[in-house]
Amino acid sequence: MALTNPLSTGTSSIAGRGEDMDVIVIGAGLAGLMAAVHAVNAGARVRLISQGWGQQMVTPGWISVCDRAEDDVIAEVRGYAALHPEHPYGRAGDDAMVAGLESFRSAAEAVGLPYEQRKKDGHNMRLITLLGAVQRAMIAPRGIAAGDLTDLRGPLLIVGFAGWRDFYAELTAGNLRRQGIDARAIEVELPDQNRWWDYWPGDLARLFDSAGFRESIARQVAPHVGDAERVGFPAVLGMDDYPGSLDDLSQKIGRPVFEIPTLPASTAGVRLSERLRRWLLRKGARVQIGHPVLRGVVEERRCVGVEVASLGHPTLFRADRFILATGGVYNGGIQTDESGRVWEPLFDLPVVIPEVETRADWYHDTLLIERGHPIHRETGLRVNTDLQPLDASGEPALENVYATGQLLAGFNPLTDGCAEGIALATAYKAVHTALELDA
Amino acid sequence: MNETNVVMSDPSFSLIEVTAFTADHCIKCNICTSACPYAKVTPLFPGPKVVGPQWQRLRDPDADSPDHSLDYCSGCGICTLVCPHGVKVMEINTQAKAKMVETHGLSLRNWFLARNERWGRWGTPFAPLANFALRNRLVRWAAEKVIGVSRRAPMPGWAGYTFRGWWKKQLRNHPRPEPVSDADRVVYFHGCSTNTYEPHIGKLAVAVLEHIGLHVEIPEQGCCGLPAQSNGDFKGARRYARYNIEHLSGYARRGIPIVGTSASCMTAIKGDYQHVLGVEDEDALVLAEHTYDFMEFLWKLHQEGRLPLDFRPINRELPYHAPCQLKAHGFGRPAMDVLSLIPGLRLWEIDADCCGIAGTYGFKVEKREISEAVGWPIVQQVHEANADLVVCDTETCRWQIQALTGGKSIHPVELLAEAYGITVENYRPPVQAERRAPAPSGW
Repeated sequence: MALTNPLSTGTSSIAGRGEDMDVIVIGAGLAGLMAAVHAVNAGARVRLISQGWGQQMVTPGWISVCDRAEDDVIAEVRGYAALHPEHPYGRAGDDAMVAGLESFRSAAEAVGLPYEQRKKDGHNMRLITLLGAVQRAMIAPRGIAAGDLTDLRGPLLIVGFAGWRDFYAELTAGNLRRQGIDARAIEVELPDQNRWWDYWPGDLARLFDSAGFRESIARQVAPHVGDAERVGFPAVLGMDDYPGSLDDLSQKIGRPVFEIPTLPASTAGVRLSERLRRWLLRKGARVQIGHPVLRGVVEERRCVGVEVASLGHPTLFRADRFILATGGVYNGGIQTDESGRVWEPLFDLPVVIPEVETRADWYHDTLLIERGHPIHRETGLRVNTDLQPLDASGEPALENVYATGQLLAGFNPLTDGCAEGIALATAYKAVHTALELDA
Repeated sequence: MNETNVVMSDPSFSLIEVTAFTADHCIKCNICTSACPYAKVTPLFPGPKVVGPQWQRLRDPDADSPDHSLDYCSGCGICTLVCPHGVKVMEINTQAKAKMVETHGLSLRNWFLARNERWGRWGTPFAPLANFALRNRLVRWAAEKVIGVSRRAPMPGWAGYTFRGWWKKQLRNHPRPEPVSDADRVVYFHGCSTNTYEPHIGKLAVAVLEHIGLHVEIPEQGCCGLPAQSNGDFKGARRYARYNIEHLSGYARRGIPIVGTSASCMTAIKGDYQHVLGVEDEDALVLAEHTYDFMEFLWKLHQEGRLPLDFRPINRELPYHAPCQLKAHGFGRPAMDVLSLIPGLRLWEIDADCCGIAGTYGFKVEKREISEAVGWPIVQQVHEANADLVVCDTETCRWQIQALTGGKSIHPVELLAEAYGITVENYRPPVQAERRAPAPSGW
């Protein structure tokens, strides 16, 4: 089965165009946004509804596909998916995974946000966190990818801003040194100190949009560069002017600069969300961030619409197909209460839950445990290979509803190092099965 | 169950009490700060998270807020919309603002802006003089210096007659037959602006409703109260709210919809009366349930198969701005949905959270620069698209868009009326539909 790339297909033959939407996507995380992009690219009329922005706003910004892979990431996932058909990668299929990643990069590129990966060997990159730990990820925004330690030959210079409590350059550099990576730290002054509250990362990112501000920072950094091969900054190097701001700063400092993710909100997530929203709106899609969907309205195993908690009275939004990108236990897509009840709130779909005696057993005694807690590892919706949620008898619960991302059972989004890869693979697959785009 | 959940699911707590408790759901993720269109452009406002859920825990509920930077919050409500955890950020801030006003009183300027309804009525008989004054640089300069209303703020002009007066004359000259049943009745809420500045919006709205076959009633009504509310004058806002509830809830109880062409007035009646002002008796709830924004109502009629589709084509591509207070309804973009039924008309939504006027915020001299910076994304996108006409559901936003872009801005009903071939006196549509007859149904 060959899947068509939605970014190259243009308008497709979508049957039964009424006056309602073709597709409603619920959720504005990575899976929801990309599902909307795929559907728009396929020529569908799309309405995206979400209670607030999704998780990309608080994560580092890189795309974890299979963080534990030691060599070729895609080969590792293909092998794993073949052995584990119940895993979301197995459900979506490895072709959808590859197409999902590629089309994400094309969509991000189209809104001016280049994402990089290691082309020559397909390995994970080795990326620096705020604490100076080294984490693996396959794909990252250009600024973060520029810090990939794999090919590092010389020392690093880490730059912080005096008085800014979200990032301590010496903390990062010191922990890097403890791992045998040559790193030094300096602090530079922010030109405008006339405010009595903290900058949040976006404030600084907007300052870096200005060439004058970049100049003032570069002038302070340049004398300290010495033998440093690269210069690392907190991930605030531009918002609207990004990635032009990156190249300009590198040129002014005379060394390649890279970004280290900071505290939330994630500038990488803000850039991506805002630019994809503008792209979607310009293509005629509706993007409704705010009031949550209360419930799906079902007639004879088909969803005919979803009811939103609007002011005064609920509003019913109709469509032919529905993509659930509502997230897992931590995102509201799956609800739990103190009695140990676990439920999917929109359609009351059957949820796989940990096979334990009491609610207390949802958790280990230790917070940071390698494979995570049972409630995160074992909770989610069971789906078929078309990503339709299944009822108790193993049949599709609803004909025209598809589930994506962290809503799915079979993986732990917190510890498995593949949450973004699964979001992208399942968003791609769900839209393709929903709109019957398979070649 | 934790304390917050107990309060939120207990019906004996009012909505307004629950609002304060939603601060406990804040995890300090800063998503609201990143989205706030005002914090993006000014260092004078620390952002919704800081002045909202963060400082809420330091505030004595019965005392003034120790910090006054929340005066720079416009109340646009984008923070509440983008929060994935259900924190009512804007509502928390608006209540704290009201506490500030309770302690320190309302400035003359803010009192003036909060009573827009009066100036509309009192200026009407003197329209030529009043309009001359508004356009006079010296007067505007003096108004800025003396009371603090920005000379750059967009001002409407008085029409010289009121919509209500026109309607009374209409009924006298062309009495409408009483409808057989209440199902064919609709109440029109015109708002202050339509009454005194833009009566043509009301005339078109009434004509469209009658074209659909509905019997329009325009009972006694007051200012929706939003200008008072957003200036922290809750006492004044509640008075307006109670006045409207008293005069309109009887219709709601009979199941008659109350429909208005100002999306922000309708936000007040549907939501703010309960969520912000704490007016939530049974009459208020019934009224909210039966109140609709004009385009929301038309889309509902369409879904019920009751909207005539005898549209003449309008071959135009136009940008649409969804006002912040329209987004607060949570009903999507009904204007775009309805207008997409007109053959040839293509609308696209401008990517902008708020135009910067936010009711009365952009009229204030110390905030005018901020207001213009907030509206800048609209200017950029409109100019990039070479557009000279923007569709928008709220009057103050339209005035702001006109002032910033140098183009025109119209209410969706103006396009709808033109497509239906409806004309009213003293009004020339800025867009012409094709003069050919509408296609027969089934074509």
